[in-house]
Amino acid sequence: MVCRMKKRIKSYLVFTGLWYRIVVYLLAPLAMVGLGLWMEANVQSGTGLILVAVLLPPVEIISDNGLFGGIQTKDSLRLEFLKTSGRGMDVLKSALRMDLLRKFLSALGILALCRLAAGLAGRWTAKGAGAPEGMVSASGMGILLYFVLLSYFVSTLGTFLSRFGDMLWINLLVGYGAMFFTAFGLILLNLADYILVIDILLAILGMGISALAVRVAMKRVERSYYDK
Amino acid sequence: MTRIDEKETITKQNIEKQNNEIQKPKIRETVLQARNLHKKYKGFALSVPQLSLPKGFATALIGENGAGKTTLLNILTGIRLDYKGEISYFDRQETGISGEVQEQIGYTGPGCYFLPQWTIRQVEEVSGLLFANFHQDRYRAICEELGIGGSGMDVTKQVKSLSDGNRMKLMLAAVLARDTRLLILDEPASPLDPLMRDRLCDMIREYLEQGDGEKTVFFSTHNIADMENVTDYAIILEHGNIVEEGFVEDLKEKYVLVKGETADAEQAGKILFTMNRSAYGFEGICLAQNLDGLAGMDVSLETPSLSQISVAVMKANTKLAKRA
Repeated sequence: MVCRMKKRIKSYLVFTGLWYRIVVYLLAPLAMVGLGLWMEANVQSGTGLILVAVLLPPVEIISDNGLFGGIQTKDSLRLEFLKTSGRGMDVLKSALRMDLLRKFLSALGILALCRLAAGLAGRWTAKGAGAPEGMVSASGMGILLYFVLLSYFVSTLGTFLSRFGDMLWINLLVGYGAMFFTAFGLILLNLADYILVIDILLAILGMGISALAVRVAMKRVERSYYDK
Repeated sequence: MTRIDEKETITKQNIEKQNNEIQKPKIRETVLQARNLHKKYKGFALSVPQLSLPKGFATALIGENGAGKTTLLNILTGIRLDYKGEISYFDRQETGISGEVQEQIGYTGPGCYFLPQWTIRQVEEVSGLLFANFHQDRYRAICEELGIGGSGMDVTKQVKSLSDGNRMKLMLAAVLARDTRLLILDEPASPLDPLMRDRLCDMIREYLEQGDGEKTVFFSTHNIADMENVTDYAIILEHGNIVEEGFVEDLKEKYVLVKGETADAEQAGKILFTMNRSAYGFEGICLAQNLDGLAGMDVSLETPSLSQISVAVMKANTKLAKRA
C-alpha cells in the first residue's frame, strides 16, 4: 500500500518541474496563508478565509498551465516516452489523480490554517486568550469543509476547462472567471443551517468533476495513439 | 524527346525491370515480422506487404523525407495503433504490441520525446517508473561517459536546456540503461557530431555483441555513409513502400558502380539503374545481372557503397526527381 502510494507520488512528481514545485508547493501556499493570517489579524475575522477561498482556484488554474496545460487539446502533449512503455498510461493516470489529491489537500491545509486564525482572532477579540471557539464544533468544521470543497470544486472545474487549450491566457481567463464563481458560491453561506447538505452536494460535485477531468484527459491522450 | 524525358523513360524501364526482379532476401531468424501493414494519411499511404527484421543484426531504414520511416517506426513501437495489418514480435505466437513486448524494446524518437521541463535526474526517475529493466547506475555511467550534463554531470539540467545532440545522447542513455532485445532508433545520427556518430556506431556494435546474436537494432537514417560501418541489413523505403532490402554485402553484389566515357553515356543509360553525367564522363549504378549490356564499352566497375546504392534506388523511385 505504502509502496503503491510512493509510486503514485513519484508518477506525479515526474511531471512537475522545479519552478512549478517552488511556486505551487511553497510560494503560493505561503503567500495564501500569509495573506489569510494578515487579513484575519488586521481586517476582520473571517475575511482572510473568504479571500483565500476566492483566490485559491485562480492560482490552481493558472499554475496548471505549467503542468498539464493543453493535455485535452487535439495536439495533446507529446508523450512518446510514456507511450513506449506498457506502464505509461498508468503513470499518467496516477499523476492526474495525485494532482487532484494535492489540490484538495492544499485547499484543506491552507484554509484550515486561515480558519484556525479566524477562530483565534475571534476569540482574542471577544474573550481573550484560550481555545478558539467554534473550531471543533460540527458547524465550524462544516463551514471549513464548505470553503475547502467549494474551492476544490471550482479549482478542478476551472482546471478541467482550461486544459482544452494550451495557451496561458485561457488559464488566466478561466481563473478570473473562477474567482467570481467562487465569490458567488459563498452566498450559500447564508444557508449555514443546511451546511452539511451543502457540503455533501459539493463533495459529490467535486468527485464528479475530478472523475471527469481524469477521464477526459486520459481519453484525449489515448486518442493520440489513433491520430484522432 | 528532351534529355529529361529520355532519362525518365530509361529509368522507368529499368525500374519496371528491377521491380520484377526484386526478391525478398532469405532471413534465417527474425526479431519482428509484419504483414500487410497499411496506414493512411491525407495524401500519403504506408503500405508494407511484408517486413522482416533479421535477428542479431543492425538494420538501417533508409528513405527520403516523408517516405514513411517515422510512421513505420512509431507503428512498430506502439506509439501509433491506428494501422491495418499484423505485427509479431520476437518469438511470440500472438500478434500486436503489449506492455511485455514494449519492455523488450528501446526506442528513441525525434523532437519532443521527453517533456521539456524534465531534468536529467527526472528522466532517470521516470525511466525507472516506466521500465522494470532500467538500471540507474548504468544510466548515470552512460550520461557521464557521453558528457550529457556537462563536465560535472549536472543532473538538474533540464531537457529543454540541452542541445539537440545532447538530447539524443540522453535518449540513448535512457534506452541503453535498460535490458532490451530490440532497439528502434529514429534518426539517431542526425543531431550528433561526427565524433559522436562514430561513438554511436560503436555503441550499436557493443549492444549487438553483448546480445550474442539475441539483440537487434533497427534505425532510420539519412546519414548513410556515417552509419554504413554498422549496418548489416538495409531497407529502402519510398512513398510508404519498401523498394529495396537486403544484407549490405548482398546488395553490394547485386549492384555495381559503373564509370565510363561521355561517348558511351547514352548507350549505358539504357542499362544503368541511375546515371549522373559530367563533363568528364558518366557514373551510375547498374544491376550486376545487366552488366552484359555494357559489353564493348570502355567502362570501369567498382563496388558501390551503401550510400551510393541507396541514393540510386531512391533516385529511381522518388517523385521529386520526376518532378524536376
